[in-house]
Amino acid sequence: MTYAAKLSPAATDAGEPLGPIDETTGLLRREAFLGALDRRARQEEKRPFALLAIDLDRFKAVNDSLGHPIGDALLRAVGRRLRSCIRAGDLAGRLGGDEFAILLPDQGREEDAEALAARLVDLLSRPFLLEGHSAVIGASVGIAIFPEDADDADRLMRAADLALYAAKEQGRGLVRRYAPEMRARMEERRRLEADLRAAIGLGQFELHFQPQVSIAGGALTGFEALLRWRHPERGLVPPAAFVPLAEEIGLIVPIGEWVLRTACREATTWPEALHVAVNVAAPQFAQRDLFDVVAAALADSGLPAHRLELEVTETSLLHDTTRAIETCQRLRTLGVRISLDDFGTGYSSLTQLRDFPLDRVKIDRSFIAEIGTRGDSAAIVRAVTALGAALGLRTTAEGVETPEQLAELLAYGCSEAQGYLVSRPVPRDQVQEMIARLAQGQETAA
Amino acid sequence: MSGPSESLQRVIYASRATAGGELKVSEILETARRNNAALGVTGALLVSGPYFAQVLEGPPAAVEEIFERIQCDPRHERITVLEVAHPPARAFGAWTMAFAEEREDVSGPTLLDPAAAWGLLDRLQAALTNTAASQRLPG
Repeated sequence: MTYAAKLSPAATDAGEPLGPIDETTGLLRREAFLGALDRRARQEEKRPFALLAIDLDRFKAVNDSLGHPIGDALLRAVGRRLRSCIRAGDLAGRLGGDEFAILLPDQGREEDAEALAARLVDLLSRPFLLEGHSAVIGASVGIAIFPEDADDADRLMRAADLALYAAKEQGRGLVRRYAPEMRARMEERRRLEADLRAAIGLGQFELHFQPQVSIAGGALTGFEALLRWRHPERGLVPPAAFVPLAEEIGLIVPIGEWVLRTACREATTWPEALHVAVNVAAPQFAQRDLFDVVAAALADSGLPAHRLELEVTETSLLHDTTRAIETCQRLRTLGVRISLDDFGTGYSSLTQLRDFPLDRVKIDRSFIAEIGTRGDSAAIVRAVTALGAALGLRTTAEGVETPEQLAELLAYGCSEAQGYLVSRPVPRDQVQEMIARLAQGQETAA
Repeated sequence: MSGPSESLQRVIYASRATAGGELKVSEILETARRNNAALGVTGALLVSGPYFAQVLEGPPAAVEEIFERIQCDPRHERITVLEVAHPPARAFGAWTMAFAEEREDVSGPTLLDPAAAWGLLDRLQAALTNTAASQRLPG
């Protein structure tokens, strides 16, 4: 099953000097590649040609886990595979760490560029064997075609990069051709990012609070604090539209700290029996000082630790489980309670329920929504509730919307409920009213 | 052909023939035997319908070179490395590329299962004892 691929040199244009070659990969170095691209774009006739921007997926993970020498061996092998794919006259360059580009000076057809890109993606996703270790990475490719997508080297490179960005954003291991709306989307993203960076300073974030009630008695037990962004032009931006971006650019850490401090301060104005639940994102866990941040928020607000509950997701515990367990243990020693959010949607594992220092499990809304319609969802909710009880954990049902769901949950022995049936999240100035309303409802029921 | 364990590397991988492609086992074996003999690599190939499992063993650099050539062959896909090890001795020292075939319904997709690596060596050795297609290393 061997296949002797003829290796094309990185550059074979006989009329031009090859330019400096990157020692690791054997490909043209950045300046040399961009110089060749510029010369090709300046040719008198506007004959079409294609440019491919290539990024390795998961290269950093291999480099981090197996070390730099293996990382370099991987880059050498990637260089060989890239060279094996191109034809005489084509140019391949290394633009940065794990970024590459291929110039097809005589190929302006989208189909041809796409065929090569697909071959690259396939070839780079095949396993590598490096000094006794097997490694699997992948690649994403963006394609731009001259002069249709851009008629100078700089703009063509940017177009290929935008297409590459789209390929990565849409799931990696993909090939995307540049489209003008990609530029518009990127500009919108840049504006959103700039606005988001300014939002804390401008006081545009606010917390809304959704009540959590005891299923058995209906009594209010606390509120979950939910982040909202009120932008002067965009209006109330839903978290799904900005939290992923905030995580990506590292802003979630200061935003998370603001949420924590604000929620603790707010909870001090409520009756003492009520807790406040605050979401903690994965990057906050990755920060060494989460414990200190929580301790400071409690000290500055004066909120007793047992009234604070941190909601963590399964995925945020996965990255560095040992440290996450240690942080949660220290927080619990302080009195803070830990709750596992969205249980059932991620890498739900029963081992986690057993090994992780938890006080509560929140059953994901998708199971609750199907209690009445799908027997298997009902079975899962029942099982998680029973398991929680056996492990000494409280269980909260998320997204409870109908009295029928509540009745079922009561029958299963689920301890608390949260959802539109009780109330939507409300702004802070409506919290006192909500506390009064729920207290009154309880008196009426009693 | 055996030496201290650091100088001997074994890799086991599984893959399947690319859908719609043409793959002749005889061609694979011929190329494999030629290339392996030149680099001191021995091994075995198990074919089961469109599925393959191959063992390569020899000096680490040679095994990695052969493996890389195989990776780039477009005639197969869905390649999974099942094991990379440094065994004390070769399991197929007598063959440049031994060959055995199993009926597809016997194994098939399970070849792609990393857990299959353990049983695979035994299965290959058993299958080889009565297969005429295996070829002894000359000399």
